[in-house]
Amino acid sequence: MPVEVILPKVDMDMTHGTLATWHVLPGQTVTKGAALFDIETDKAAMEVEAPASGRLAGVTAQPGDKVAVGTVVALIYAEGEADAVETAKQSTAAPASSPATASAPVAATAGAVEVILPKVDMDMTHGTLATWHVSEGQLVDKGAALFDIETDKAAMEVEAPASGVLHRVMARSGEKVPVGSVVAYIYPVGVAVGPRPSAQSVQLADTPETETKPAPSAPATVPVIAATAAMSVEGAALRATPAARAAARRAGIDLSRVTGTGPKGRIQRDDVANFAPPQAEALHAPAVAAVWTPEAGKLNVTTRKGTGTPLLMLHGFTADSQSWAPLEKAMGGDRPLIRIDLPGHGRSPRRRVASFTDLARQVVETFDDACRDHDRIDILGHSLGGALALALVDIRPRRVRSLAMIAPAGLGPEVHAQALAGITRATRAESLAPWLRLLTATPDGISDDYAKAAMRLRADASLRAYQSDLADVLFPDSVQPFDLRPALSRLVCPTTLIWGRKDHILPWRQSISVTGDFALHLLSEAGHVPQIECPDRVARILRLHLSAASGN
Amino acid sequence: MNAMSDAGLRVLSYSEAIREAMAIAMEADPTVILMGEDIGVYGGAFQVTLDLVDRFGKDRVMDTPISELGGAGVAVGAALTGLKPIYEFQFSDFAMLAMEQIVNQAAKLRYMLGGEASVPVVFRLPSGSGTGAAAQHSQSIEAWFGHVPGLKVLQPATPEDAKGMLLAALADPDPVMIFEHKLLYKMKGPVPEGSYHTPIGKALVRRAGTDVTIVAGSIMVHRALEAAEKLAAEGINAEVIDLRSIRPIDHETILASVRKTGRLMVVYEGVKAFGVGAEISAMVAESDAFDYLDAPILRLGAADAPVPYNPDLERAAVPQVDTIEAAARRLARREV
Amino acid sequence: MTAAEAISADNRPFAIRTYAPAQLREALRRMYLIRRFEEGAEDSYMRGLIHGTMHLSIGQEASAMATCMELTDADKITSTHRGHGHCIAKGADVGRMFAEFFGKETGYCHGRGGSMHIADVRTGNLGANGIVGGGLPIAVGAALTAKRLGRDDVTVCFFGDGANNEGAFHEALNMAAVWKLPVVFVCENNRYGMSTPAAYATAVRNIADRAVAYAMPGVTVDGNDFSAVAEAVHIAVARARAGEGPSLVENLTYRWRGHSKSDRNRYRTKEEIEEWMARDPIARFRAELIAHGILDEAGADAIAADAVATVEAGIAFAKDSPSPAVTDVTRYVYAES
Repeated sequence: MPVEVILPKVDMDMTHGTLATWHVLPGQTVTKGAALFDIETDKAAMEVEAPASGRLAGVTAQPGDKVAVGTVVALIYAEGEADAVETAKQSTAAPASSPATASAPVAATAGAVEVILPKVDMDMTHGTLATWHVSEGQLVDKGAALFDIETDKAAMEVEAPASGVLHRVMARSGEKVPVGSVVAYIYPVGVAVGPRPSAQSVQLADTPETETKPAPSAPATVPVIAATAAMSVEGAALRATPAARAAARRAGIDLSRVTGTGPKGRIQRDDVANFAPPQAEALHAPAVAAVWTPEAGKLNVTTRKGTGTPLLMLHGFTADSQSWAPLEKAMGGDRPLIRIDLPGHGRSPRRRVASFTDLARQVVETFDDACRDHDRIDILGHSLGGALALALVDIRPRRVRSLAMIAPAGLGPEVHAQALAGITRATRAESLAPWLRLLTATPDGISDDYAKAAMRLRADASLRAYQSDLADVLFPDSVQPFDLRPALSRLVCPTTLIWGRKDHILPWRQSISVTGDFALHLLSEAGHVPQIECPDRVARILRLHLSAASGN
Repeated sequence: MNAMSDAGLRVLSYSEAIREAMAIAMEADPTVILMGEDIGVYGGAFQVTLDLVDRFGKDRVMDTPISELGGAGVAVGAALTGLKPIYEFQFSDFAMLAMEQIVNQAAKLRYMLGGEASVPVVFRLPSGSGTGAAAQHSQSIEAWFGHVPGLKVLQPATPEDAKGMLLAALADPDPVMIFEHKLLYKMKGPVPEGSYHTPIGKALVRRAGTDVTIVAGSIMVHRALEAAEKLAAEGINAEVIDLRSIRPIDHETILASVRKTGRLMVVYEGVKAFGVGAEISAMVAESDAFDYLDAPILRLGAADAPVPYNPDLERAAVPQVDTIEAAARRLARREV
Repeated sequence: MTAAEAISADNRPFAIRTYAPAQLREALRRMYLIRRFEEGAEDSYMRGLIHGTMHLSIGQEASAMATCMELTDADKITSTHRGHGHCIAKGADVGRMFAEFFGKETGYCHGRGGSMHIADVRTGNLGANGIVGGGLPIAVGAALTAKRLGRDDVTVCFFGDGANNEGAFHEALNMAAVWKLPVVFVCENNRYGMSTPAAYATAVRNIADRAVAYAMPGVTVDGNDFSAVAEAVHIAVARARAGEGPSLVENLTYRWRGHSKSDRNRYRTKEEIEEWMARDPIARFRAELIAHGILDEAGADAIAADAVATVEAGIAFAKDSPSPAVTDVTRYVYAES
């Protein structure tokens, strides 16, 4: 057996080293302890001694190559093992291929050359393709600038690995891509562009952010609301204590209208408490005072016909059945869908709701009615609808095949009640927008135009009054008084829980403090409405969940 | 020695309470030993161990050479192998000579050994200014040790706590540092009989109030209480929290009070910068109680100077009743 | 010839005439194990399997093993940053040691300590120490425990020539002598504190001379001579067990490798290193055992081969072991209630 020559770790924090010079050539003999090669690190250069006596063979690192610590860079054969040297050389040559050969362009299909995202930094695993200098279908010369790449540390230009026509561009400008991914192909001029080469495809670093933003033209798909006063006035020049700011947020008071009595005009909590809004203000903020008339009648149910086990969908507070549209589109398929509008939401009547239990009872009634033709159903609920879904499964366990919940209520006391109150009470787009922006992971998901469209759907003051009262019933004193954790621990059907890690309304951490058997999916960069922010990611999870529930 | 308080409880001085705790522990557990400089016939620099050598003998009340590093290290080694030493530093300032053994060894051994070792040592450290002992015998360095994971750092303000904390520290499997204030040694107060533990890591609301929260430790508790009584005459109702434990620190008691009063002041005898006040202020600012703050947080600590010798300077260097009173008044009157 | 005369006429080395053949063979096995362990650790380090640095004791095996010859699991040792040999000599399992080096949950310190804090409380090893001189007062404390609880165990305190200039050394020796504690201070003088020669940094000619200042016996021996070390420590341990107080033993030895893996060896000559390698303590002990018929060449080779296999198995165990959960980063700071 030959003795391995490795590139040794010679410094505490060393992960790679540059093989500077070989003192012995392949085929020459060397004595144990003699200088074999020089190694250079950031800090120092040093000589490495031969670990054994014999003939050097199978050299895999050339002077100047940067090599990871522990890599075998050559072998030393004892006398008499000489015959094996050539074979060994061949067998070790392949894995030893230097970074240069590994990143060399490889013909992918019909003479096309792969364009990959190269590793340009030692510790780089991903890079952002910043800009393409050449468009799809354009001619490019080998060595010409093809695209720019950005990492945490640097930006640099990548040259075309071959001459030809750029096709099959798979990574768009701005996309983050793992090192080594194929981002395009260069075809020789005149070669037909065949079907997409299957060898490699772009793997996005993180599941895409591409589908997140809901279009302003479809505001009905978003939960909606209203706050009273414009919060934008909390500008930099305003001096107010944290307590005063919190009190103003709760009461919907515009702090710029409040006179501060503290040092240098600082607004303190009492200043907010003592604030009496001018008369004119009342014209714009009567929402809470508006009345609503209780209505009777069944809850509105909409269905989509299809084949297989139906999926029952329960939307969240201030949303409606139409809010499922982006997710339905992303999920595809032809399973039957049954969507329930909660009381005072969508097209359902403004039925009186005494408590969460009362609301759950109304949903179960509707379920019994709408699902009587189906032995078993799958259930999906979001937020308040998630809590109702859980309650429904607890009450009708034998009728439910599976349960999926997105950011469900009921798993802990905390809830951003100010946001719910703000949404229900807002009378103008400007006061609605700040609250809407709390629903998504980042505020830029909601444009002013979007907020205006959403506000138009909430123009009816009695609707706002109904939902505001409902919020008081369901979330008194800014807590969730109903606790569905015991119900969760009793579940026996396949259950999936999906939560955005940037949910500002209900804390996702509630999901890890509960007991019960369920699959948990925590979505990075998603807020309270992942089914709208990133429907494709949610759809992917739900398809897996439903397919597992059906035993496929 | 057996005086009675108004409530009919037995009254002891702070140092008598500590001595009683040591005696109870030594009676109950033969592995408890005392170590320190001049703790035998001399009775310790502050007479806290007086007569104990007569009761328990020189083998258990061990005068050490003037070797703080070695002495503390011997206590650590003894704790590591089955004894429960109480090591008295003559002055807390001298702990600096033993920093290596306290910080690198005692605090870290359990962790470095992956939980396979325990160092149940107790360090007692007479601390604080007001005795005219100047810069090297008057410091309040408890916050230094708050920065060291693995240690527990206590500051009893009353005779009752001084006894209960020492007994709790002896029952604790980890190293505990107890900073005793030299001016409190003669203070008398009710002390329960027998063995009891003052919970480590629990602050105590010594005076309930609604207008401003004053968090203080050790002797500052008494100064804050006195200031609070004066303010009460003006209609300002201050809440005074005795911190009792610097590490671990009782977040919840402080946060609950801040949510109630909206105004926070931290009073401590260590140098103001990078001290206990910084930790508590930052902790409140990071918490949900931030939204309840209705004024800036105030810190009252020692001047940015070594403790001076001249009595007027010495007094001015650390918070006193009048400075606490004035600061709390400004805070409550919304002048800050 | 009386029995006493027969003993005094026995010119064989102390170890040969004092210990049973099986004990001596086991000692040789552990010395080989230390050497192979250090080489395996060095190899693993170079392959990037070991985080951080380490301090190898190749060349000092006789000092570690001969010192521990008469210690039981009830006897304690405190060790140093160059402590792998002490650990093995005291009976630690090399698999768990490698696991600790690799930062694994199965390591002696559950991956929290690494090379510089390795300990095996079960065999009385209170731990290596990253602070030069850190273990000296702790050893005195352990000896105090034994005396206070009326046990006859002793504590051996290993330290290097560098530590003898730390204040802790002087405070510890003084207190041990004042209280007549059962502790044996074993100085492994390997001639350099990192790069600084002991001869330059220390005012006395022999470190053992310092014993005089603390009224205890002090002796300097050839630390690469197993029997010489064993005899000196035997006398010191007996004195400690008899309640007569501490002793200082200085083992003159040499580390073949650098101070740590960062050492560029700018302060020693190749000739000096080779001169000391010629005094290989393992080769000397092996030759001595063969010369006195304790074992033959084949037996010695079998012992050496056994050490290689044990080290290989240890590395495999460590590689296959799980890492600690990252969420447990604050575990073991305090006792778990």
